[in-house]
Amino acid sequence: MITIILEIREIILKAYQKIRAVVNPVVKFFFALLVFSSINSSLGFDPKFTKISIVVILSVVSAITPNAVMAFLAMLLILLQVYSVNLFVAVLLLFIFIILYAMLLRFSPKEVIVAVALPVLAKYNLHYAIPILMGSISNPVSILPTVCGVVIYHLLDVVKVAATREISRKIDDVVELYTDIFDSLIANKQMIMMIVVFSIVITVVWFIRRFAFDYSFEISLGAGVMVNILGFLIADLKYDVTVTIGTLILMSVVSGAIAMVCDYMKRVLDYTAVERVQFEDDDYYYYVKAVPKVNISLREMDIKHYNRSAVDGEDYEDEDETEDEDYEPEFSEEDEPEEPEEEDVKEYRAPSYRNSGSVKLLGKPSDLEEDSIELPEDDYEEELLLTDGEEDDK
Amino acid sequence: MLNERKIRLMTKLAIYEKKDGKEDLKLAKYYKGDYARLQAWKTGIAVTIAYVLLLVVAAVYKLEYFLDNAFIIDFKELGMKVLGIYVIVLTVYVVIAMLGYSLKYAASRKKLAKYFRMLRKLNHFYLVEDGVVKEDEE
Repeated sequence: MITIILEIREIILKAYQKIRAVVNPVVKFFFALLVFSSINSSLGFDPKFTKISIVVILSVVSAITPNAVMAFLAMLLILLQVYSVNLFVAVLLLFIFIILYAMLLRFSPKEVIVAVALPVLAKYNLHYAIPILMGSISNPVSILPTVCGVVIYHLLDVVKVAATREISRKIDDVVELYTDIFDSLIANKQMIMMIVVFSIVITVVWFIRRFAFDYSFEISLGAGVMVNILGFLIADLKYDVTVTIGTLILMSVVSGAIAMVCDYMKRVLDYTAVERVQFEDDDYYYYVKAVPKVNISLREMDIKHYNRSAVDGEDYEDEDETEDEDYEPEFSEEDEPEEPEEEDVKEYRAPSYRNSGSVKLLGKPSDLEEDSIELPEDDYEEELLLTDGEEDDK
Repeated sequence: MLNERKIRLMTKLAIYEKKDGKEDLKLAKYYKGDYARLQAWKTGIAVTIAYVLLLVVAAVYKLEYFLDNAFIIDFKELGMKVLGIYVIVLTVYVVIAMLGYSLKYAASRKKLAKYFRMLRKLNHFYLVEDGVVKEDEE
């Protein structure tokens, strides 16, 4: 059973390796589409910005640019929508966005997207997944963008109502409007409780995940889900914050599962990313495609256990390297083996004994000359497309 | 002739430079103290701007109260209060920023150490190559 799961995993990974360059922007495009259309559905005051063409253009731009651009565009869209009905609320929103950025968001620029994702996911009660996920893939600094997301989520609710209010341009009306917005924000116990509970969840998940005991990762997620449920229950009982208990428990568990899948995907996909790099030395330009070795076809795998002394030759003293997943070599310069002859290198494929502790040969053992075995120093097979440097210099 | 070991090493270097290295090499331009201080300054400026905006928003929020009690309010005391809170907020932010960015710098140095080790190895390849050339000439 496990074999089949692992094989399916490998097939998916291999396929993903090939289409990664396409999949990532497409996923991002659909997420951006969700973000912008949900902004428009709740704040669709100006039909100019609600047009599908605008939403698609914004999504395309977001898909091919860094995450921060999507967050910026989302804020801009909110401001424009509110501006179209109420200048004063738009100015207030702009101020609040700048304050949030300067005091919270700028410390974790890579996680700005959380501040945008949380209000969107909250519509489907999936926002519980964010603190659990941030705790497991990031560190407590991610509390800042999460808090930001919570504030924006509640702010939009308030603004949606306030922006449509008919007001004259008299200062009294404006002040009253501002006062109402702030009163309803400050009195919003749900927002404060959500900030507190989410901060605790992130810290707990991050803290437990760092321990080295077995299943610490799974336990940390479980603890995150429990803290989330308990936190909101306490909030419900003690501070009179309305929470639908059934939804809370169900969605917390679902969120935990989502966080688990996301975390797994992130870790696996980070390791299996095909890298394309180019560099040069005195003689050549190199265009290298580095493909991480992820092949673990268990059923077809032909494992041969060699007595190390049978393989060890004088020239191959650095074979102790058993680093996994890491592409930095760790041996010192004294251990550097002599350069094998070029013909030797071509006679075999570098075997990998990562994750196994034994030597795994990709070729048939009979193909190998014992004295031509070179053990690998890294986890990449390079495909080299070489051009002669002198030709390119013309 | 291609030196596959050298290509592997150069590939690793290039991958690092393309990913984590981008940020790490940027930090490597500074000394630790300089970097932490620069970031603390930036944080201080950002917090100041945010605080001023907060004051503006708060002033509008409480405008009615100010207008009603314009003659009763002790503006000197209020000013001191506002300034005091500002100093506390600023200190907290700057201290945390100094600590946080120092940690970030330390983490990047660790990764850079690996990078420099690989660079030394690459340099070693060139030294060997040069040595070989000289031997042939002799």
